[in-house]
Amino acid sequence: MKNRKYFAIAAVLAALVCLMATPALADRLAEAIAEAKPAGEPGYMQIPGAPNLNVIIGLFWAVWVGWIFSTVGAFGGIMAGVGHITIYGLGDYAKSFKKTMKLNKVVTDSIRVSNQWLVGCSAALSSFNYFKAGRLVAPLGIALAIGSVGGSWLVPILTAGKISLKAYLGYFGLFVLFLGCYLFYETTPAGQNKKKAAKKAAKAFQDSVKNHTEDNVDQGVKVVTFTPTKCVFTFFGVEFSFNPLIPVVGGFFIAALASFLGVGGGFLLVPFLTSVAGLPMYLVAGTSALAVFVGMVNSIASYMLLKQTPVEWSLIGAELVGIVIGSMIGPRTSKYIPDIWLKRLFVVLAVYVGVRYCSKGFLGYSIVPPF
Amino acid sequence: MTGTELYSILDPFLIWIFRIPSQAWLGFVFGITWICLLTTVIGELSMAGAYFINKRHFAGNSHDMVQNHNLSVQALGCKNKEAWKACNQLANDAFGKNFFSHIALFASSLWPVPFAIGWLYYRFSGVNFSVPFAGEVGPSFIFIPSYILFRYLFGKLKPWIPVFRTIKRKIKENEDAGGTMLSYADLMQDSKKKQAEQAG
Repeated sequence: MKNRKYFAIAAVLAALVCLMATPALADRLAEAIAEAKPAGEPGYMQIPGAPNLNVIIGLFWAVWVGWIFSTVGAFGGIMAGVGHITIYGLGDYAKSFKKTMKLNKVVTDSIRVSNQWLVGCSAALSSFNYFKAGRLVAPLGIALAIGSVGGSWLVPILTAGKISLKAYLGYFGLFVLFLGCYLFYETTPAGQNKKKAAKKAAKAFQDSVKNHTEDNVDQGVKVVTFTPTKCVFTFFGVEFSFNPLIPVVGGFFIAALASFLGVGGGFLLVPFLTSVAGLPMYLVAGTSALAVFVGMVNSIASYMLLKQTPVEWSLIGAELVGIVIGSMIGPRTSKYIPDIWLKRLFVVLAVYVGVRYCSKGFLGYSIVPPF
Repeated sequence: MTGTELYSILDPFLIWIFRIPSQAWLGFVFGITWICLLTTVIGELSMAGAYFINKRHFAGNSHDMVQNHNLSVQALGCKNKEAWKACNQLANDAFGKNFFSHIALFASSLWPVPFAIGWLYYRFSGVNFSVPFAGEVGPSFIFIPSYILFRYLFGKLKPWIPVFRTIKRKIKENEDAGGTMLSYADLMQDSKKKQAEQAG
């Protein structure tokens, strides 16, 4: 009952932000088109001379995204971003307008929002189902959501209409390189040994326990000390500690980054909650879904209502179909491709994409082929 | 194929119901309801199809997550912090896989929605919808909340709808085979039971 109350509060907060947003009175796209004066047949978003997005190409790229979601997991959002920028030719199109022109920035914002929709819709339903299963521990979720809302509200306000494609490419490339390093660590002996040790310890415990429990004098949570930077508590007599600032600050940065780059944030948030914060899985499940959901709703509402960024709906639809197909194929292929080789494949791809976008963004040309 | 070409193909299947009543606003209500129904039913069937094609994969993910989580709860009951950390780490890894594969699964129920919204803009972008407090809005401002509400009500009615009732039951059977997650409340109940036994 208490969890439902907290969830309702979080939902109301999200709704309030959406309602408080001022609907744009001017047609942002029309202004941008008038300034740029492009010529030619109407294409993407009915912009004259823009590339006509073939939804079939979008579908095939999204099959790859769906395959990744269902096998490795987190890399999917990045792949969606790569698709929008490169495969659909939007990146080069937006670049063709001068950096200072509004059309460059409208198309960049549209790429970011399209990325957000893909993951946001799905995270919404995940949240709802976790809530129904009663696994949502709301106070921690609210702390994360406060950070997420702060990050994802501020960033669109500060950056919508200000980021040129060149800058976006560079930052996106940096993020992908960071992702490559993270995945690479997981394939190293050090990363592998950590998991092997955990498996060994878990098996040893399973073999020894046989439903034996000690007499528990201390029940539930007892706070031992609490300061703004450290909370020490015991849970069933076992001592734990955490920094209360971590969920808020972590949520803020993850949502800000996700909102700025337009990719889900799920990749950062789930490992953050599980590895960095080291939280019990029971708490992680619902709270990560809630925080991702609230961050997404906020970002999308901010972009669409505050700054009126248009979205190409048929492209998102084709991508969702592709994700479905890819996620159906993924589990079948993962029987034949070991986890570690999947991760190595993605490390190679991440390094290639990261280097290409970083160099294109910050140097103006790519240092890897095709130049 | 471009988006516009796709919407013109979908147009006859979607617009007909809007034209039935003589009043435009009533036609719009009928039409939105029809689109919500189509997107929900097609989406739910797609999700069921995607789930059953890989039901062993989903059940396996769920089993790993539940088993390791339950071990971590038991480790806590034994005051074994190292075992708790190890089991919790494995549970978290399994959770990550489970979380993202479910995101992909839910995407399979949402794929008709963007096409519906795109078609609504194709047909009604020239219409000014005025909503109290929000002012002038696009058709998606009306469709999205309607879809969410329709989907929620559909979920409630599923136990009474023939095909979906069977789908729901079969999914539950597959997921329950992975085991039930222990909660910390279960640990407290075990502890209270033990103390009561010792006192008695």
